[in-house]
Amino acid sequence: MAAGLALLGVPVWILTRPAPSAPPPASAPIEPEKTAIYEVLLTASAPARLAVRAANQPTVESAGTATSLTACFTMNAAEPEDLAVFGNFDPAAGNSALRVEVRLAGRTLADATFWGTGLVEDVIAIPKP
Amino acid sequence: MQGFFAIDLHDRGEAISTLMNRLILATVFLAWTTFAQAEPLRVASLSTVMADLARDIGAGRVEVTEIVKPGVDPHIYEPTPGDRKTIARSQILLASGLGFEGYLDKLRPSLEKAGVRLVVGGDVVKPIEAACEGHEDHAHSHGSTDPHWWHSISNVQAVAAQICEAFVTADPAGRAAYEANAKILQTRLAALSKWVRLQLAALPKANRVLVTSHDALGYFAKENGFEIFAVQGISTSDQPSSQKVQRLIEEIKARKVKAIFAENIENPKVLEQITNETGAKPGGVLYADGLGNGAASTYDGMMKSNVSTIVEALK
Repeated sequence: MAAGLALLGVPVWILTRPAPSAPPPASAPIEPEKTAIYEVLLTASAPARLAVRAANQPTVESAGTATSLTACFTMNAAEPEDLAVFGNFDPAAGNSALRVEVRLAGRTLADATFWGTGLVEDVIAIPKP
Repeated sequence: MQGFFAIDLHDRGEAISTLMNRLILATVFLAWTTFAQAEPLRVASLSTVMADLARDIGAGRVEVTEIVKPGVDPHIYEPTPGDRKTIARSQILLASGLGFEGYLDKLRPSLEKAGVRLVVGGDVVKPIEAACEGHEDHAHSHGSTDPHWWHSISNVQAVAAQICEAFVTADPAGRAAYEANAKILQTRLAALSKWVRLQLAALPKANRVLVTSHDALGYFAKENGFEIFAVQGISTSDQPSSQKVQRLIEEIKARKVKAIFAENIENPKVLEQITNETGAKPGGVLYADGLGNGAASTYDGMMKSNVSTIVEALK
């Protein structure tokens, strides 16, 4: 096989070298034993496009309009990131509510409700353990 | 018939004359009241931030004169004789307080004599202690309180309410206008506060380290969970010792700080040296001692510029 590729002019070492490792992330990696999985539950008073975001992690969004969204984030247990939450309601729905609950191992750590018309967005801080 | 018309015309002439007199009187009265309303409340400001708040709250009823202008280093500013005259002609003088204007106590007797009401923002905010690291080698002009209270939006909300109250006291006829304008401003400040929180939520907490020229962002740091390392102390007139600069370089290397920030009115040479030695990149320019020019010429603009610069450099 290698001889065949060599005959075709493909340097074998290109195909057999180990794949380059990804560059290290900008922030120091979190040691696995210091992380925790935070469950975030968004509940909307009317159908809305829902989203939740934590720093350095992909945004979790509802597929379309929905009245609830659940997301899980693995974060530093000693200092979890704040969560930005968004509920994009139909302005015709009038004053709308977006409730956010953050749970760790079934225990509620934060629970807040944000109100507004159209785009309801805010930040929820997770208390340190 | 002719007589009838003659009398009628005579009466009509008298009526027109009376009407004209009344119109003239009404016009004079209207002009007088308009002039009285057009005479604005004269406000002088030693703080660019408070001047901006005063313009928003006072709108057309207030004439705001900035004694300390954007881009001027307020730490080393001293009022000129011309400034003193302007201040004496004003009805209200706005000042940051908490030691920011070192000359304020000297001004007080002349303000009392001229009947100028002094409104000090620092009187209604929750002060924080200044980090005085690096001051072991000399005395400095500030007390131990950080005077840069405007980097906390909740402090600015308190000062906006204070300015509104001062305007109502000085010009009770404008109460409705001042209170309506202040309400709009408070709503805008609340929206700005949310905008700041949303922007900073994108910045990992581990990256929230601010290395700046002088220690002016303590309120911002406290409110938003940042650690501060400042080259100078609380005043731009404080000079860092070489030991302090060396310690700072070691700290930046150890913490792997991504960016170092300059200020709009600082000489950035020491920061450039630290940037070169640590490998941290220049993070951009922050407005620390008040408003700047262009987009940063309003409080909203200044805060948005600072937050965007910080998030962009550190995320």
